[in-house]
Amino acid sequence: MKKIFYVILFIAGLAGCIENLPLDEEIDNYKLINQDSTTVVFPEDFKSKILVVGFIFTNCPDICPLTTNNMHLIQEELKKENINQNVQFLSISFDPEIDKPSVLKKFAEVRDLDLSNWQLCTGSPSTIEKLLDEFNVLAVQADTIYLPNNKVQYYYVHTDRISLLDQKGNLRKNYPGSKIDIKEITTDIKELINAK
Amino acid sequence: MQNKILATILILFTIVFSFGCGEKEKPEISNTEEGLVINNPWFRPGSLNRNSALYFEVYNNTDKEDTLFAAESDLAKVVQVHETYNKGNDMKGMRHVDFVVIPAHSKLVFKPGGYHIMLVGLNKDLRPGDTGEVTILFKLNGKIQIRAEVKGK
Repeated sequence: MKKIFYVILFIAGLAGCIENLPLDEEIDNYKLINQDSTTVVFPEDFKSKILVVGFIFTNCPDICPLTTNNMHLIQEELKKENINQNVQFLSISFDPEIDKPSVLKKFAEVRDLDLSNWQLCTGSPSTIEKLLDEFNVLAVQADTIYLPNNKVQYYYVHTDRISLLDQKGNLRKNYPGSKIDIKEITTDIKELINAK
Repeated sequence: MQNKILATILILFTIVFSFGCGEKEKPEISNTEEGLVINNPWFRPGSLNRNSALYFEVYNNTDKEDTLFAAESDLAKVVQVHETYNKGNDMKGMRHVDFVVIPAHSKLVFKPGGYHIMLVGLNKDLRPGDTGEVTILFKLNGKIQIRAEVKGK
C-alpha cells in the first residue's frame, strides 16, 4: 500500500513541477538601437512594463516569422483582455551585421506589425553577444547561400526563444518562440500584473 | 497484489505520456481529385532583397510515389526546397534539401517549422494580400504552377 502512495505522490509531484514563473533572474543593462535608430537601454528603459522578448534574425523565413507571428497573437490576445498597455514587446536580432535599424523597420512594415508597444532592436556585435549569453540564447552561423550577384547569405542555427521579464526587468520564464502556448503566457502576464 | 497494482499504474502512466509526446502525422488522403494535387498554398511576407517561404499541401492520389526536386519563380533570385530541423533541445536550423518524396496515396504538408519552398533575395516586397506564382517540379508529374497569397506575419 505504501508503494501505491509513493507512486501517487510521484505523479502529483510531476504535475506540481509545472510552476507558472520558475525564474527570477536580474538582467544587466544593454545599450540597443531600435527600428527608428533611437538608442534604448534594455531592460532599464522598459521597467514598470512587463516585457515579452523574442529573439530573431530577419533573413530567417520560417522559425523567426513564427516567433514574430506568435508575438503578434499574444499582443492581440492582450488587447482583447484590455491589458496590452501593461506590456512592451521587443524583438532582438542576433544578426547585427545584417539587421540594421532600417532592415528591422522594413521587416515590421511589410508584416504590418502594431508598433504602438513593440520595438525591434539591434546593437553592436559585442553587446548582442553578451546579451545572448545572459539569456542563454545560442545563435551559430550555419548554411550559406550564394546569390547570382555574388552576395552571400547565411543562416543561423539558433535557440527558439521568447522570454518573459517582469516589471523590475527580471527574467521570469522562457518559452519556445515558434510553439509558444498563447494562453500560457497570457496567464503568466496576468499573474505578473496581479502580483504588482 | 501490491506489485501488480504498482506495475499497472506505471504501465498506464508510460502509455499516457508516450501518446502525448509524438506529433507524427498519419498519411491521409482527404482530397479526392485524381493525380498530384496542391492545396492551400500561401507565402510568408517578406521585403525586397530579403526572404520568404511558400507552404502548401501535396496530395499524391496516384499509385506511384513522386519526387519534388526543384522550384522556380520570378519572385526571387534563388528558389530552393528547404527544411527546418531541430538541433538539441531547443535549437532550430534550416537547410537546403535535394528532394522530397511523396509516397503513393499520401499527403505531405509543407508547413512552418518543416519543409518549405525558400525564396531567397526577393525581387519585390511580398505584403499580406499580395499574390505570386511558383512552379514546382516533380520527377513523374512534371511542372505544377502554384498561385498563392501572402498571409500572416
